[in-house]
Amino acid sequence: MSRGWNTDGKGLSVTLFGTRGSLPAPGPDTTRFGGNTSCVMVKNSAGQALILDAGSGIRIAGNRLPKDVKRVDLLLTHLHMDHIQGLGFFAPLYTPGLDVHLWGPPSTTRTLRSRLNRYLSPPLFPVRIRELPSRVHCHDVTQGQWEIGDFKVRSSLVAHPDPTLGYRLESEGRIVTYLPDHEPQLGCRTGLPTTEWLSGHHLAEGADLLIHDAQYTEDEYLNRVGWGHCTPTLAVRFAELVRARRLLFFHHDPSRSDVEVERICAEASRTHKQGMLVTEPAAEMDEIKV
Amino acid sequence: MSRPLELILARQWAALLSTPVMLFDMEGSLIFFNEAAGLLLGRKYDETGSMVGPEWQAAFPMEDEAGRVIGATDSPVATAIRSGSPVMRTVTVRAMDGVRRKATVTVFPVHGLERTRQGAVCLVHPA
Repeated sequence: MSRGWNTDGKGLSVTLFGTRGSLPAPGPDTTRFGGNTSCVMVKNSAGQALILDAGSGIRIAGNRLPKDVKRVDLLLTHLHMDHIQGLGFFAPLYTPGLDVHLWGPPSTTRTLRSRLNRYLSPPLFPVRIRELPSRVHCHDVTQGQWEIGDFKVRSSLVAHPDPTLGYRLESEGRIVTYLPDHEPQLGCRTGLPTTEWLSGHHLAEGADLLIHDAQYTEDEYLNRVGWGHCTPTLAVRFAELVRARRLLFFHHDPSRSDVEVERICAEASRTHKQGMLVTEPAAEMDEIKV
Repeated sequence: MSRPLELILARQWAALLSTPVMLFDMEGSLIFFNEAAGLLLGRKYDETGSMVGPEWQAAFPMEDEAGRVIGATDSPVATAIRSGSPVMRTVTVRAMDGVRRKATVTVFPVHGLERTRQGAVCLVHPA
């Protein structure tokens, strides 16, 4: 489904190839919002695309790239399994000579390439990065700004276990912020902190589209503090604080049916009181115009 | 602009501790102290907010064991930030409520990913 508000012919197209958190959840109960894990493609009007995360949804995303693409950029937020498990099935990696740029966080002692090698090597996977026919370039990034084509990219560490990045993408005057795994309320006893002390604030400030973690219900969160995730209601509060225009509830819990996703996100949306925030649950294969 | 995540998490951690903790950024500004530290310093963080170096050094000067005021560049915080190594020192604080309090401070610099320095954490042990 394609929808949105960029009627001037410019702007960004955001396609959701995987919206699920933690574990793929295919089945009859998840056909509406999807069962694939995190993967999003952001494309500008010139056709330049950035891919965010390599969950199981990236298999389809890789097949949607133009056959004559010269360069592919994949931005990884972190290396938890649900964000890299599709990497070995990303078709561009098997295109001889194609430049594939992987951007993501190192650990304190290992480079991004070294960390990815732990997954892309036996016994977990039969093919090593160095054996791939494409030219793979790994870039260690933490907090910073750089340009990829016409996109301005900003990254920063955000509150989630293990080094985890959020991304802010700007192109053609539009801002898309991607915070799929984020627990901004961690350690806060009374609501979210002021913006200066709010994880992810400067990435999401004024975003036209904020893609934000909404994995747990309020009751679930009580027993999962520190696991790195957010509730839909807190995602609404966060979106209000950063003055985002539109919020996509993302990283649906694998145990959640379509009916439940719809219900808890609708309940959270009703708590919105300030401003004109538009909210909706992220649905796999939706294409959103920004 | 939000602060680096290392300092955000340090503040959230400190806010839950009964051990007095102060946080400093790389410029030496006192950017947070918890309630326990507030008792030692004689004011609450909610009352003072952040203080740049000259402000906090004037608000609660520190003296060495001989009773001499410790200069800005020689303070445990400045030394830890400059050297990148932990510093432990016993000082007397002229607190903001007028009371002099002796304490041992342990200041350790916060080294983030890729060894980027983000500031310093100061643990205070009342003597």
